[in-house]
Amino acid sequence: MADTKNTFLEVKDLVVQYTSAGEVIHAVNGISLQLERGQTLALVGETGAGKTTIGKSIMRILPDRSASIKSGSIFLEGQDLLQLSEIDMRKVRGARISMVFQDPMTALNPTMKIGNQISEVIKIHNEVSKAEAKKQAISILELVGITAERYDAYPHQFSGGMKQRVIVAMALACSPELLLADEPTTALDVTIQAQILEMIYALRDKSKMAMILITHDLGIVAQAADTLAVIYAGEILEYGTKEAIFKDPSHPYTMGLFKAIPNLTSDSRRLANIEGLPPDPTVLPAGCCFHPRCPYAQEECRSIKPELEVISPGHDCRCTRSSEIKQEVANVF
Amino acid sequence: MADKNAAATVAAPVKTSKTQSELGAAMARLRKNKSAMIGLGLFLFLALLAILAPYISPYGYATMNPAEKFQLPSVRHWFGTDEYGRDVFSRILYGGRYSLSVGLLATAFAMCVGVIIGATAGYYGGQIDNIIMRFLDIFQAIPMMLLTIVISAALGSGFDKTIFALAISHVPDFARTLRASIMSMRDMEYIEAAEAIGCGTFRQIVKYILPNSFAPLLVTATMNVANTVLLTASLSYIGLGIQPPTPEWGAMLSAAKGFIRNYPYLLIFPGLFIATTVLGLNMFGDGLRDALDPRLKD
Repeated sequence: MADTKNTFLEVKDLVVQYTSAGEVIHAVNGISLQLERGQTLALVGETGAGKTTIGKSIMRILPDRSASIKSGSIFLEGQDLLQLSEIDMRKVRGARISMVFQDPMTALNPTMKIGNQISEVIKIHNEVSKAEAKKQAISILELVGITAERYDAYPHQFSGGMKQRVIVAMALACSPELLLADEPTTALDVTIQAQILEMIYALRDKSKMAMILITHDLGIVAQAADTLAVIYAGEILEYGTKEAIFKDPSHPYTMGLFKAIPNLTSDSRRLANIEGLPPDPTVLPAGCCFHPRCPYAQEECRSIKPELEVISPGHDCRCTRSSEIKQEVANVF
Repeated sequence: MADKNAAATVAAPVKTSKTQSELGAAMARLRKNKSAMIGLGLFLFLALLAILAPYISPYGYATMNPAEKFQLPSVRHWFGTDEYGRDVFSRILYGGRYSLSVGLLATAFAMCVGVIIGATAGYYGGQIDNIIMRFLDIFQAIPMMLLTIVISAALGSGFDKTIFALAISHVPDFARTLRASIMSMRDMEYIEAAEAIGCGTFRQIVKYILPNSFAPLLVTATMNVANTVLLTASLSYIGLGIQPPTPEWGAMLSAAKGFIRNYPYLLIFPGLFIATTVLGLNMFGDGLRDALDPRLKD
């Protein structure tokens, strides 16, 4: 797409493996992504597809003992984050890249006042006095809709939605250039979800920050993303602009995902689903990783691994039979 | 921001009259626990007596008066006198200073070392953990009493050496307790979050891990003080530890053991004080454990 120097964030051929009880788990297998400033990239996929691992690799906060980045590079404005020393990386975390965690119930330190948790980020990355850090923390708290007098409260005195606001506030405290939102609303109920998302979008648009949104909710993707990557078994199956993929889903897996969205106009008793389960990441299938569940799989799919190919400008798909399948589907209806 | 107003209404009704930490809530529960408060009261009372010994003891702890030896408890000598005519009450007051401070200091020292070792093992895990824990296993393979006696005998007797001997043998307890509770919370998301905001290792351990894994350590420490007071008494009893004429409760027991038939009160009084200290601390420790256990929240 673009060359490395001008791209804001470029992930190239990232391979991440976990080792657990002697078994190698292939979590991420050669992912490449690009993201420009002010843009939002959504990573969509089932549980265990490797979405969170990609996010944590960019932050370099994978557990040292079990996970290792086997190969690949992650360029932030031309600088390879994977080559940085741990001390330099610490300056990037929280300041240039920050993360909103999935579960607000466990992502806050129960023994620290919420205000202090926010001012901590500010103190780590800026040479400021305690009073100044507190002042900044209060203004961020107010930005996410929590009044200043709650500065001295502890996490257990907050509801889930408010905790998630605090986590967003922590992530935004140093005005990061890139925000990784790892299923930021999974643990919240629907009304609070909408509030939190609205808030994140507003803050994103205000500060022109880039965002990687990890989710399995296509509704959120439709609303927020510019580009979209469909992840399956640690690989990108389809990658492109939101418009391209929503209008013309080309991979059988993506088609399956779209079919599983409830339709408000048609009266169907059951939602369509994709048969089977994601492959065991310790023994990935040969050939196309989706073939065991693919209704259109043929002999060649079982042996030849398809490449991610450009099917139209700004739209890549990893399926050799994509156009044939589209024909087939069109013929049925 | 359209959302801001909605948010303000979310936050407003939850007015906090008093912000209370988890620890604060636990302390409130502790205050309601009668036996814990009695235990704490007993211990503080004994500590106060020891601190105020120079002002309230009627005689010097080493003042001998051969004319008044082996006096039974009376108005002049509340707890009687020993074989040199020394006032037992005064000696017990002074003795408390040594017994209690050995207990507290040895525990504090063991806790400091144990926290460093346990935190390192728990945080880093893997090979480092393995090496540290196997090393502690060696220590724990030796019975604690025996280990204390050996160290104490090797170092010689005296106040500071006794503290050291007692502390070393208790280090593994603290290290293990802390390591276990760190391991159970090592994978909590807020530790990851701390890393994600750019916290260094030291900051992560001190501000995020230790405060959250301190509860079991606190309980171990309380119980350990009682245990150490007993061990000090045992050491002094067999002639190690604190030496006469310094009045330590265990040493007093040891000195009185020859007169148990004729003058049993020489043993009863120091024994009573040791027992009261241990009882008080154990009651307090039990209450503390209940207060810190989140499942018992009312």
